[in-house]
Amino acid sequence: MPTDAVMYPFKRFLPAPIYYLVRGLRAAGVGLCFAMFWGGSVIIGWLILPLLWLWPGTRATKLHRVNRFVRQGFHLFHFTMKTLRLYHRHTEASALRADGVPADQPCVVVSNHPTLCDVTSISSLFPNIVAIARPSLANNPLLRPLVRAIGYVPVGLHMLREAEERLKMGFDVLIFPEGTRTPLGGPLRTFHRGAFELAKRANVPIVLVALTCEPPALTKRLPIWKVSDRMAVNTVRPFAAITPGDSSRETAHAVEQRYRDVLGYSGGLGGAP
Amino acid sequence: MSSSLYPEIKELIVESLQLEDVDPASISDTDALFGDGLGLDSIDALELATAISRRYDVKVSQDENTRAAFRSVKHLAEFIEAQRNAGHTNG
Repeated sequence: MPTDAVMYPFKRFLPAPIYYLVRGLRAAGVGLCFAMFWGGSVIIGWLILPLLWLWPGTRATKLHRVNRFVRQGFHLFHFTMKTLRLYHRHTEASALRADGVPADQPCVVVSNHPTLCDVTSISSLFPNIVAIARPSLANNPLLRPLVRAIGYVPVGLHMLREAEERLKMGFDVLIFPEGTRTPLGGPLRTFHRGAFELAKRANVPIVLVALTCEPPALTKRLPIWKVSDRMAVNTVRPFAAITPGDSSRETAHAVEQRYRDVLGYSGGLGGAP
Repeated sequence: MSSSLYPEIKELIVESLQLEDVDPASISDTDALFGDGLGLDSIDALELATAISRRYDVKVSQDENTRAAFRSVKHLAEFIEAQRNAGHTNG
């Protein structure tokens, strides 16, 4: 658990009634944002996307169109969280593809996964990107229409084939090789090799993105209502682009090691011993 | 008898997953294929599923039954037999 000095630095300076009022309001703000996210996803997924899908075009055109539309929603979601001083997706990167990979070259994007809003953080930055979605999200009755219509690929038997098809359509494919969120305080989980196998088969570069969130927020093992006094800043940093090796097992292992070096043992999650 | 399938399945595993340093005969009938046992991972599962559906002309779908079938060589053999028999009675 992160210490109070990291999470609640203002506690010492403010009178308790005022302090806890503000902290309560901040927790309510997070509740509001998530209500907005889920409400928006259901309304857009069930009402707006089916209409948007009727517009003529090939399947690829439709996926791109819907994906662009939904990305505006991600922007609004992050704008709200930033305005309420809760969470800010920050980047200093001038190019989202490190090491001179051209902007129109579809890539596999891999990242560590510190917070609940990493998919929206990364998707709002990259102009054409789909993610690999957990079956529990892809098959969730409320989210399903949205997740499918923006081209996200559910984990499963046809995952690699579908993801390869997205790359051919010109999408980047975002994969968290850990398979789920990095636990608070690290260490990183073992990297699965799916992302690297995909890049090898499709013969596309792999962009390595490092996420660091300070102070920690929306992390596994940290209850969602534990909102820190300061705004959580999730920094998105594409730090390298590599070509996939012949053995996805070896590539996965090497990339995992690279993340450990870049992030440090804690996975950059603050509050680690 | 499903046990006659064991050596075939073991060879298929080694062949389709290109496990060059594994002797098919050394794979246990009942030990776990994934995780602790043979140490296969999620991508191996996808490839093995494709190889099995091709070789034995059975339908590998994504459900609890299939997940159980991929536990070990023995489970796989029983799954393939069951699928074949179901196919014969239906067709």
